Amino acid sequence: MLYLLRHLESAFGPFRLFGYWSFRSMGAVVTALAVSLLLGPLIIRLLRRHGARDQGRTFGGLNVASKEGTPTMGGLLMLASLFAAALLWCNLANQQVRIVLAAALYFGSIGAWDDILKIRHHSNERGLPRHWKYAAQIAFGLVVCVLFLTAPSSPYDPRVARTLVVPLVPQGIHLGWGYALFVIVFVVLSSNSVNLTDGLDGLAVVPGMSVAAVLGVFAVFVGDEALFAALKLGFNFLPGCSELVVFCAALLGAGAGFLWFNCHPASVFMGDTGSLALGGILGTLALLVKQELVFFIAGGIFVVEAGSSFIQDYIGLKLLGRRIFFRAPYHHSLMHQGYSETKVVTRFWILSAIFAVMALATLKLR
Amino acid sequence: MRALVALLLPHRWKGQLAEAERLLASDGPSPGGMGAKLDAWLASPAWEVRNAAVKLIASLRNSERYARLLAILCDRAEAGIVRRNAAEAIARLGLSTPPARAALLRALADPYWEVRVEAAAALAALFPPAEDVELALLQLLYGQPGRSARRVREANFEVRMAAAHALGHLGTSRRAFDALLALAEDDSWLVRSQAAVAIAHFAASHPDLFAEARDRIGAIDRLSEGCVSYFVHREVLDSVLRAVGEGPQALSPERLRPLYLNPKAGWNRVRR
Repeated sequence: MLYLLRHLESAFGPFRLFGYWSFRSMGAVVTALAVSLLLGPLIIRLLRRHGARDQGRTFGGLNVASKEGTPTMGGLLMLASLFAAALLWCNLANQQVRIVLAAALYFGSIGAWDDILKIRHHSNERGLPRHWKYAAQIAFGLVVCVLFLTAPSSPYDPRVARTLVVPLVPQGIHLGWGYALFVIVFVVLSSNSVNLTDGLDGLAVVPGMSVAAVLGVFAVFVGDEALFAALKLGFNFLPGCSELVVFCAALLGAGAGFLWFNCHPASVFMGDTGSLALGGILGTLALLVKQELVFFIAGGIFVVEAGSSFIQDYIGLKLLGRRIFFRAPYHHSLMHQGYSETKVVTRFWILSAIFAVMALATLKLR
Repeated sequence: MRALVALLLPHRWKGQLAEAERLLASDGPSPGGMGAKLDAWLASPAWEVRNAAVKLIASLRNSERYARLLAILCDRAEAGIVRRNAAEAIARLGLSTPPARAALLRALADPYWEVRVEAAAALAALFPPAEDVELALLQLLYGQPGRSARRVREANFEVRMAAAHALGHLGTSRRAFDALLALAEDDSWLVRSQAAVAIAHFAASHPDLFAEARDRIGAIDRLSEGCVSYFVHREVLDSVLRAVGEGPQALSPERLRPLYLNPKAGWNRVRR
């Protein structure tokens, strides 16, 4: 909304600042962080009072009962601060921003529904059935396909939209309508990979922030006309994409604010409300910035976590009838081997920083 | 092939699995006609169903099918988890028979690590110390007898932990003690911890080694990468609830005094 103030520049010169994504990004970070810190205690108190508490669970024999009863659905805090900052600082007329806000709301709602069912049934096993979750994610993927790949609604040239940008392949790979299938699979993967990673205090949110930061940088380079013309990085120009950097900044602020309460020992968990939303947002951002493969590099932690779960569940247990890893997702395997939670989480943060740098390095690999 | 079919058509066995899991969850007596059902489930192409049947044999103490457990344990074509649960079932049933002993000794060389872990645990639980068991455990650790006691070959920390535990129970000679000393220098604190207890256990039945065991345990590296959160508030609440649950007579000042947090001493220095 503050973006509109730039129209009053003639009345008050400094209002021109609201036209710059750089200024609004800083404003978005500070706003999201401040809203998180202010709302945090209130939301945690509300969650506690209304019995929104984590149900004890056993991960393949790894007992985490000591965390039972911690308030969950903290994703509401993250989403509230994200929306406050985005509504205040983003250009809401921008189509990309509206798509990603819709993704946040949609995936947050699926996650909240899942969390509510688990709380109501006092069991982590009795949330939203897995196939319903997949169906909801696929439905979103289909809507994105329609919005993104058809000429009247697509913010980009349809040929550009259907091209998969690949490092070291200058023209990318044109997938045609096959890109629609890719979008659906990508949305499901991104959303679930963050969901699987969210198993220890602070484990999902920091890698999520680093992916958001990387995608924000890419959004600037492919969406800012002046930078795009000056740097000649070999991407397609994506009009309006630079606005997403303001959203990414809001996500960084919201993530940092949430981490304030989620750091070990956590006062609140994000629950599926937060993890499905975070995954959905990051996946949608990667699609809008046309950096789908960069998501897999920057989000290397998510790939490791989802990959280890897939290998364990489908190749190991279902097909071979044996474990491949001690436990899955991989952070539980490390815990099982005797590493403390803080050690595992800190090391994953370091790895996510390394993955982010590797992803940024692909800027020049065209 | 059997596993692939089961993976592609999981719904075909859902009913059997659900019934087996329902029976496992109930503590009631064995329902009629269980023998035929167990046989059918043990022949199922889905390993989950065979696995549930193995667990049921132990749970229902179905003595007619004990021999099947031994056969499953020795069948290397069987799914790893089913073999592991067969070893666990043998321990649970207390099958301390010579065929069970032979099957468990053979299982110590199983290619799947969880089977080796359960076999070592079952041997420790069921049988007295013996030289051949000690040799089999040393072979598990070193690959072949006569290797240097310091060079443990087993790469899996869970197996090393299980071997330490079993050697503490079943070791008979100085060789077992040396292997435990080697495990006490392991890179994993979990193995070192387990070895410390096992050395003490071994020393209890070998008084001549007691002094050395005490010194060696004292010298074990205390570096630990594991640290479990201790929630003082939860501990205090649990202690108070335990006392209250025992009735008013349990609420003596002596019992409650240590539970008060002393801000001067620091809340995190509460007696644990």
